[in-house]
Amino acid sequence: MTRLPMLLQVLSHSREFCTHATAADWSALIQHARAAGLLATVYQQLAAEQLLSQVPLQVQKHLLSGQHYADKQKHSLVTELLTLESVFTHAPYPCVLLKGAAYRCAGFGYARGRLFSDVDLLVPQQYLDDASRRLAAFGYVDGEMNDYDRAYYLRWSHQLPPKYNLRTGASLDLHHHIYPVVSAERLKIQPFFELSIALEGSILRTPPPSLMFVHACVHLFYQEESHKLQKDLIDLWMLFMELQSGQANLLQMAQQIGAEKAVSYGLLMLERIFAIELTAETKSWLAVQAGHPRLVIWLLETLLQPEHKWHSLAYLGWFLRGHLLKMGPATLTYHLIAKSWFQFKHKKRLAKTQQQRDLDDRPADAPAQKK
Amino acid sequence: MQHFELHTYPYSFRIRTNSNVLHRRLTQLYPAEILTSVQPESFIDFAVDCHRRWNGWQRPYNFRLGAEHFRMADDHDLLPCFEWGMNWCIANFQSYYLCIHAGVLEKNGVCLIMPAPPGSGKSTLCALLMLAGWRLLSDEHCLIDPVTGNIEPCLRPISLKNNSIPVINRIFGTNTVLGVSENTFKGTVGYLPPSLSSWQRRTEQAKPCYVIFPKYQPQSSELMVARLPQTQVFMHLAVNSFNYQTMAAKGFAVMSGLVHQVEGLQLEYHHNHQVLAFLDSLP
Repeated sequence: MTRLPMLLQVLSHSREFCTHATAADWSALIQHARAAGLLATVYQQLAAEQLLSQVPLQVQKHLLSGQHYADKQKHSLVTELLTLESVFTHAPYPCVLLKGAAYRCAGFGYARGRLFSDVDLLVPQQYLDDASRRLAAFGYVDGEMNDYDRAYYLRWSHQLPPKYNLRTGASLDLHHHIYPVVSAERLKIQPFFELSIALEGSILRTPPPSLMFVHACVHLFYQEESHKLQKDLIDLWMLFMELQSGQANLLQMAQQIGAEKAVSYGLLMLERIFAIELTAETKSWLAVQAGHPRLVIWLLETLLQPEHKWHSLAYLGWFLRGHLLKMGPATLTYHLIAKSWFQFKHKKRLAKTQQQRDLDDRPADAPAQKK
Repeated sequence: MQHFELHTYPYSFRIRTNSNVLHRRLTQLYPAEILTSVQPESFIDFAVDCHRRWNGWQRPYNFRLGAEHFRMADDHDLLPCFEWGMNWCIANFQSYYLCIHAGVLEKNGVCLIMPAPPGSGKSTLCALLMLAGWRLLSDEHCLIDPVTGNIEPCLRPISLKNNSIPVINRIFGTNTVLGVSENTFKGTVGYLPPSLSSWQRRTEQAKPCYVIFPKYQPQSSELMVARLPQTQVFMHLAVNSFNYQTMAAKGFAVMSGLVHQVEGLQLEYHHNHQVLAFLDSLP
């Protein structure tokens, strides 16, 4: 890759970046990190590398602001988890936290700076109704959504329509799988229940780090979206460093889930960007994996460079590939036509009402409103 | 597309806009050393966009910071929307300083904080005090430095609304209030640029002494002064703060430090000159 995006640069080559950064570099870093929700991640990384003293004070002010926000999210998360504790008291099935909430609960250092938008909870499919009823009793209700989207979630997806807590406004995704059930990939979910670890004194559980890594790989390489790729790559890198059970165990987990392709892409990408060290065993494992590593790496690296001349092509390729993996060609054709129609209608309505919404949302100016 | 920068203290903005009048209107309000062309080697805190977006086709300007949309504007209310947009950046995206929605002024080392809800006449009083020789630190954001406990100036033009515009113009001559825009959703809005001495000392912190809660009293003509207990001052300031909650324990520590070094006074007044005379007499 010719040039890493700045956020990946500052995380993978922190010392070098801090030594050579100009005012213009720092400005760009703050704008990118703020837009990607990564101010606190950068702060944590520079603090861990003891580089904060090399960061100009004006830059530190913004990183610290991001950290304050991440800390505030932690408080909200704790409140939410305490509620879930009551919701699932004596539930006769495993309740497994996924992604951000799981990273936090597992006590990963880097998770101190990671923002998340919702709590992801995984329960066995046959208990979805019970879990939904329990959540509803504590004020978690379905958000507003059109009929097509609702049907999409229920028929094809790996989760129920997102819920939110009426009292706190926090959102919660109730999963029964980590990947759409309509997909041809047929990933196995059972190990997530069997191998998950109970949090001390809690009904909630977290997957072991190796499974978190597998899940993050699936999330990154089987998606059609491309606006959070940097954050997803950083997640992957940070999770890799939390793997205590070794790479052999990770490869075994990849096999158990049936996600060898995603994990092989993940390891290759981390080696290229963050220069992680792979064992000889892992390297020979990578050599025999199926899939299209060269294509996937090209797509991802091109997407990470907005100025690249083939960026739009990569964008389209990634979009189609992600959708095809999730749905297969027949379902995808149907979905794309239906979705475009609903989006067209939605955007027409949005354009008409945006001005009114500005007024409704902020009757006085926004700062005064924020109180 | 026009590019320029506003190096207000303590935050600098870089602006990209397709309006060819915004820059011209800002030259009325900001001196040339603050409103500059793009200086590639300066540090920029907030890079903002002010141009049309694909789904905002009804109105030509969309104020944005990164991917966050603030508000849409037309030519006639672009200047106030832009000023509010800058306020929004500071109120929402920084929590290094404890930020209280309040005016701050200083004279001979006596520094006042005036928190007040919008529409309470805070800005008018700030304008009158500044025109009477007080140094303006801010009309909107009282920034408490967490290290020194002092107030960091955040100097920008005072925003005046509706009736306060003719009031100021009547006393100090027409065209004291500049950049007047009519028919914004807050009514008529105009701006009073800071005095020369305020601009000159725009990076100089001040030690807070008093928190003043002014209240207009339509009946009585006597000036009533009541001292407020520290707990009440604390609560008033916390309620008026943009980021007290986000800063959590640190916010509490900084706020406690502030409340310990100030005296809270409630003023019930009928005439502006009563307030001015009283504040001038403060030790």
